[in-house]
Amino acid sequence: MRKKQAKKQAANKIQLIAEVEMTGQIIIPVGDAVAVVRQNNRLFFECTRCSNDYGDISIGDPKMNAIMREKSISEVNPWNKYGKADQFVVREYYCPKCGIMISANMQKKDEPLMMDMELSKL
Amino acid sequence: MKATKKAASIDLITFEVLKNRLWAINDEQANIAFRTAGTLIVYEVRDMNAAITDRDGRGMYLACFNNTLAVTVQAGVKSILASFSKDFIREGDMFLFNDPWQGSVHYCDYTMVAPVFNQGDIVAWSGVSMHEVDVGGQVPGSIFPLAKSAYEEPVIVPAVKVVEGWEVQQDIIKLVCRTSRLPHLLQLDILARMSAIRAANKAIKGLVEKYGEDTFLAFTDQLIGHIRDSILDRLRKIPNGTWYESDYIEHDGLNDVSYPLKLAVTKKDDKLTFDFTGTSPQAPGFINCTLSAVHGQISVVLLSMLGYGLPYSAGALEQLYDVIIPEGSIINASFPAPVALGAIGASWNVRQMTNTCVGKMMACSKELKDYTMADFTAVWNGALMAGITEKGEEFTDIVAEAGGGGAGARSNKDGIDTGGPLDMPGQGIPDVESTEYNYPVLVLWRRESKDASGPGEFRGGSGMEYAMVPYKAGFVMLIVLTAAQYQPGAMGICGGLPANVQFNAVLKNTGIWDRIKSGEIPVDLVDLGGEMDIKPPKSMGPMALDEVLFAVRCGGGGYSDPLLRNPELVAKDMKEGLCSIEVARDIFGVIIDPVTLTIDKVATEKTREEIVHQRIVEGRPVREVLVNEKKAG
Repeated sequence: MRKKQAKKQAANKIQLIAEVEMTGQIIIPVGDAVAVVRQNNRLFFECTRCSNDYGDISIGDPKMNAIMREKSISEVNPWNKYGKADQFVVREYYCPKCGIMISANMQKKDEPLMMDMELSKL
Repeated sequence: MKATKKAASIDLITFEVLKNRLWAINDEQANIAFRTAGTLIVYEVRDMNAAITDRDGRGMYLACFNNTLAVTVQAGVKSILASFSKDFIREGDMFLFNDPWQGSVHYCDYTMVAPVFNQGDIVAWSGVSMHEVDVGGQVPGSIFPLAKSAYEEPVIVPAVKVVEGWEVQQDIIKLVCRTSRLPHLLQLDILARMSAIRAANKAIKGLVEKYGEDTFLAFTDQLIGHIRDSILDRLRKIPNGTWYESDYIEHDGLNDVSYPLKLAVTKKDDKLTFDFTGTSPQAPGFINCTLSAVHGQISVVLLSMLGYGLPYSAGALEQLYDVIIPEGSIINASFPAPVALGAIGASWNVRQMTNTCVGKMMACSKELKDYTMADFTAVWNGALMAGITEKGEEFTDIVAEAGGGGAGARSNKDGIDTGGPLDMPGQGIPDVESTEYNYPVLVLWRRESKDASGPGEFRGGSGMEYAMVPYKAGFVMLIVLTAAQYQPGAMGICGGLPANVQFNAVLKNTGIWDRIKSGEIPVDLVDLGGEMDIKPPKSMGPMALDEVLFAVRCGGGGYSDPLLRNPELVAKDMKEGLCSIEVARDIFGVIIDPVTLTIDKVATEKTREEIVHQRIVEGRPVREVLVNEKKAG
């Protein structure tokens, strides 16, 4: 049932950027846009759409080598103009090569960046 | 109670028969409870639940209504076993409590539990918890925003025998109901709990007599072990690591301050650790919660996201996770800190952060990625309309339409529109006619709201908006008890965006009654007009009889980059009134003709390319930002 559903969704999927063949074998997915892959005994984070190398798994989170923009919360949802749009921001993280968004965190403007995860050594 | 018997293993057929029979008993128990209850919030909205535990209080089953409430049955039974001597707990006893330091989530959630005896031994417990509209205290609805300590909040009832040796303790019932503004409804609900527990315990006892005590006790151990092992199998499919999330809760009733909450979930081999270090100390006002609420929230997320297809056994989780929270934290408040908002205060942030961390964690598993979900709707967008009808009768409407938040997006499908909070799969909102029949209000509209969800390749479920005006009321007071008003409350994952903020507002000078008398019913905010007065997230004050209450509820968080969303789905959302042309263009990069609602494919492709280009040109390397942060201290 789930496989059928996933197949249907995949058929509907719009290609934003031409998907390229991954460099290595996927060991761990990180959502759909990033994966931990293995190539020649090296484990690293790779963009699933453009094969950008985010760096070794030891960096913990591919965000470390991503690019980011900070937006006021009111820029991402019209209802948010009723919130404290001057105090809270959404930090969007993208692949530096193809621009796909891999993470978005809502935080207070003056708070340090937040990582999503830190994978242990495999 | 005799010494613990060594439980033998039982055959698989007997195991399956007992598992499904007890599951059905739990379901029936919940059904009896809400069908015999007296309050709309229970019999129609189903802000209640029922649970069965083993003899030691380890949760085995909870029905599918308000699951956080059901976890309190486990905490309550364990507390009773620890507080009283074995001789004090006898066959035919039922205990009632609302003490947040003894298992309850907050004072309004009275829980009743009772042991099942067989030949002098406790073999199991069952319990029912319900949200009561009013359990006394300084304001209708019993959640006083200005309380500075627990002594200014409703009466705390530790576990007391409300039934002893099958004799209903009339004096105890009178004592508990005397505190309420709606004693007749509270009494009906207490009796409903008794009926449900009586029926469940009779059925459980029948099973014990039929299969024998040794077999039954072996079954209870085996069931909890089976569920634990099944969840463990799933947990082992996730790599070791730590996942992070943070959140805020604004305004504690006394101070307009945003309190931070932080969570790091570490998965190491067969264990999860929920570390809340960095979370704010307890607040001066009533948004704090106790540990029982924290365990309730963590349990409902783990059972929903990793325990699917299994009986919801909170007992099975006991060996699977630890928590680290200093005492005196906003989520581990020390008595007598005010905690009246507990269930829909800081404890809800615990659920939000746990949902997001577990969602990110599951997205890192090949086998579980298809089952992951982003954050469900934010905290209950609480508002109470209370006062006196034009006939002089007291009323309290817990505007339960607030339950209509959106579910979190899945990794291969949108979240369910108005699917409700994660812990309340069987909870609903009242029928419009029920609201208008029970309370002096007229509902102008309610619908799934435009842009009230977290965008993503798969978007979160839409939240609801509604508007109502006092009707045949003499006096109305509006008490607002919400959060996720200053900042979005439901986060996206894997590139999905957070959902909208939520709030309650009063619309003034709309000429509503003249318009209604002339046969005109406004259908949305633009049509309604007037001046919008957004209420602070915790506030109370009188509401004029010609003012309109408007509220919008938070939707679910999104999954994956919104630019990857199929434009056909964006167009479908626009046709259904769930997405504006601006959000379609600016967030999803989809250009749609506002009249024909057809997609301009060329313009869409161009717009998406431009957005991507902008991201790459404007984006700053994260390492550079981190270095600058470090320099700035």
